Amino acid sequence: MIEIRDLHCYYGAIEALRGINMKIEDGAITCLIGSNGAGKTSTLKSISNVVCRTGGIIYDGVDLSHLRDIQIARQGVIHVPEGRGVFPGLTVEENLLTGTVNWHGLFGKGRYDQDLAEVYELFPRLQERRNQLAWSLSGGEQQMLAIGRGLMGRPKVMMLDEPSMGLAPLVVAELFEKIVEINRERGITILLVEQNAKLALKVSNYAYVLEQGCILLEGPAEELRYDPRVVSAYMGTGAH
Amino acid sequence: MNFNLFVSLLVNGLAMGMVYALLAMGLIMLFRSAGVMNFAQGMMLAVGAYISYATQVQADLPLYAAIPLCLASYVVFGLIFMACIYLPLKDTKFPAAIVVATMGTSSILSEACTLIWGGEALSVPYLVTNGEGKSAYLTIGGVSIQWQYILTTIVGVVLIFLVYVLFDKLYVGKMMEAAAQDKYTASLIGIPKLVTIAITYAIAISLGCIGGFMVSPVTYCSVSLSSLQLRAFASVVIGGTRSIKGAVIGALLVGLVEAFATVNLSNYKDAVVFILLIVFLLVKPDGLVRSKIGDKA
Amino acid sequence: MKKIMAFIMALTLTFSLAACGGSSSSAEVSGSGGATGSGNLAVAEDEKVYVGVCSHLSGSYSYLYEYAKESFDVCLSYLNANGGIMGHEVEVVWFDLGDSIDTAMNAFELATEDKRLSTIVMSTYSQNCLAVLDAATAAKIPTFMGGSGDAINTGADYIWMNRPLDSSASATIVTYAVDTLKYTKPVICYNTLASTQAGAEYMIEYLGDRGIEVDDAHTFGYSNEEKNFDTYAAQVKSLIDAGECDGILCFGNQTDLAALAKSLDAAGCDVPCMGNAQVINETTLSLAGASINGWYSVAESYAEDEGKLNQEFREIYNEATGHYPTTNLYGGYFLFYLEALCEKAGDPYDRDYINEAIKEVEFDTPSGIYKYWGEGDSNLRNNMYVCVVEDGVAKILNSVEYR
Repeated sequence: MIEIRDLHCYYGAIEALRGINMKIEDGAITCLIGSNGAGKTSTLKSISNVVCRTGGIIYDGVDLSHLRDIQIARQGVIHVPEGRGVFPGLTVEENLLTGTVNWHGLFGKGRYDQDLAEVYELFPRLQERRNQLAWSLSGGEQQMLAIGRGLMGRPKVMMLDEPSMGLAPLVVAELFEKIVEINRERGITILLVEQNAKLALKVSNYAYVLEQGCILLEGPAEELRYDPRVVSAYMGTGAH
Repeated sequence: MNFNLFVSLLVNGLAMGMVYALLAMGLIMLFRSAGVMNFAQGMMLAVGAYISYATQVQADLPLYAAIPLCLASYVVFGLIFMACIYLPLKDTKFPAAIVVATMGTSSILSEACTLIWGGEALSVPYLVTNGEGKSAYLTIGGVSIQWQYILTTIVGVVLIFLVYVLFDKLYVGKMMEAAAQDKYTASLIGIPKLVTIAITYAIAISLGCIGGFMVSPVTYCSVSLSSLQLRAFASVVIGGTRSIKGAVIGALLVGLVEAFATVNLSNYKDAVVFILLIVFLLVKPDGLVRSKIGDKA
Repeated sequence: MKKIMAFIMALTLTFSLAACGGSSSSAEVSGSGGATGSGNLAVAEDEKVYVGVCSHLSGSYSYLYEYAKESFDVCLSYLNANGGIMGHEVEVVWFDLGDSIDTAMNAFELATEDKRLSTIVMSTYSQNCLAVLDAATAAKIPTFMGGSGDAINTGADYIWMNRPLDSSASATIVTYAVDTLKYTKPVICYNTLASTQAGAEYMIEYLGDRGIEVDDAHTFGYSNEEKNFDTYAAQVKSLIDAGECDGILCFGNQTDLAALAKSLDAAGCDVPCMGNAQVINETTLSLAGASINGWYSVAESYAEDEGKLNQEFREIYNEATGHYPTTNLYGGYFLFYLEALCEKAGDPYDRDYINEAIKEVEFDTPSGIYKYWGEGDSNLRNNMYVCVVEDGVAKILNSVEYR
């Protein structure tokens, strides 16, 4: 379980997170929703330690707040960034390979064939395009690649930053199926940051609503799904 | 032009092209990983040459001792270079700051070499000499080729091959590529940026220094070797600024054009090389080898 | 009546004295200097005689300064130990020409502004000398240009050259190459810097006068930055093999001549080679090593035993520095020439008188005689030596007077 206590995050003089508290349960899908600029991405960046932040982040007894970004990745807390972040000039397979660095090390001798096979099983489309350069993939394929790369890191926790962004609804639906599969079948804890509140709440177990750097609401996703405040603010009209 | 002359010019052009290629590969590696055009790259030839002089002439070491010592010095020098240029400036908001720093470093290195070894050119022994200490020849079927050029070409080919293996086949090479393409994401997913950058600098600088080691018996060891940097820049532009393969092709092209331009056009040799550059800029501004990363419509 | 007579006599005396004083202030040098002199005077409050020397204290040519300094130091201490110039202690003021024309011009300007200097000596690089020509004439201070470019020889006031012109070097080279070495199909290699290119063009002109035409296929110009001479050597070899070349003539500077010698030797070009005085420069000889043995050269000065004056100088030098002077090291001898000039002028501070003295003094130096050759001619020399390199040392063959 990741326990976040009184997390503050700063971009220069601007305070993006104003002391939030969260608990991310093992094996569950926890989502973090909120409008633009609420601080959702900042939360993930804070856990990964790529921004200036204060506060306690404890994972399985280990205090992450003293670790560098590389070390946090080695702890098995993998961050799939906003905008996919695939390496454009590397092929699909090379991109997947880069995901193994946190346990393989630059000069290690570990084998990753098994990990690769499992990712290709999950995302057959990636296997088809294994030697294609990543810049030429469609948005959806790039997102799959980013998630696949995350999986190659043998994660215990995967943090996904707005995976649905810029993707067509059908593609998003397929993607979320895979996310659920990863969680149910491999037992990987998921922390999902999303603008698409509807979809996020549908697949999650627990949810936090973030507004202007503070946690506004929290609770089991099922409940928040029908909470009138959430519905009116984030879901618009239309069928669930 | 008879056959003998043709072969001499060809070998000369290839060998010099290899030296330019070593410089150019270093330039591209640093450009891609650190986003900086290293204006001190030409001085690496001079530094490599002076260290070669120090080990072979001043310390009078035999070749089998001098070579490993030189290589080790080059790597150490590359790391020191990185510590001075990259580390203090890596978070700067002004990308031009690093470029200016490399220009300043070029001056500092030039003056430092002059302070230590004096302003005059220095003589460095050929790798293969005949009895009187003069350059030795390989004679095949009536054609004579200096061993120094043959060895330079071989060393160049080996190094190009090793760089190719590094980036195309080795795990660590792919991680370095990734860090060069997106350094934020790279460190996010656990690629130790400092290590990959250090390796990049060490290799890029060493390539230049080895070029200096190979070329200094022919050209003498002096700080004016840094002027060959312009040829390396020309190669990089001709070959395409993002591709190592392109840089090598560009460099060989420059070397050959330069060698053959000395026939009848010797006064204008430099001009010919730069006219070639201008032609490329007009006709193929992206360079010979297109970047792997295209623009998606 | 007596008072009026006394008064008239006093007035007459005063007027005639004034008239005398006035007439002796002509530009003619009479040895006594006159009460007023020329008006163009150096001013030194400590009564020392100052000489300004512009050299390359910094930058890539700083080794020239090292040679010059050693030579000037030896001559300076000898001169001062023997009464200086007309009883005054002599001091040298150094100005740094640096690495570029701009820094050179700045340094020269500083020198012209130094009111203590009786004369200025400029470095051997013709480009620098050309750049400061106008400033020297305007400053009205006798300036001795160390360059050899013909363009420096303008005959302008206050400009003097104490080295043979490039054209004289070219003339001497061609004469020896054609008459003694029997060249009929020469190949010419030259550095495209203005001064050396001029030297090469004179060679081609004089060869033409002797009935030998040199076409483009037989001339190779290379830039001052050129590092790789094997391509040129390969072409020369190909000409030799085809019977198109029986001798090589070069006009360049130290590093390129040395590299050229190495490349020509490596390519197996075994025809006679001859070049300008830079061939026997210390740097050239040490860089080229064994490959420059057998090369012919002209030389402006030499260190061999010959003539009482040279021997004396060589011994003084050896005692002071622990080694005999080589062709690099004659710069300081200028101070003895200055001594002769000042004595002729009668006043070591009078720049105009010193300038005029140059026209009247004939002075013997280790490299030849300094002498005035007439209106419009700034060059003081008329001889060069031809030598050959044996075992890394220049060996004099004979002296040639070209006028």
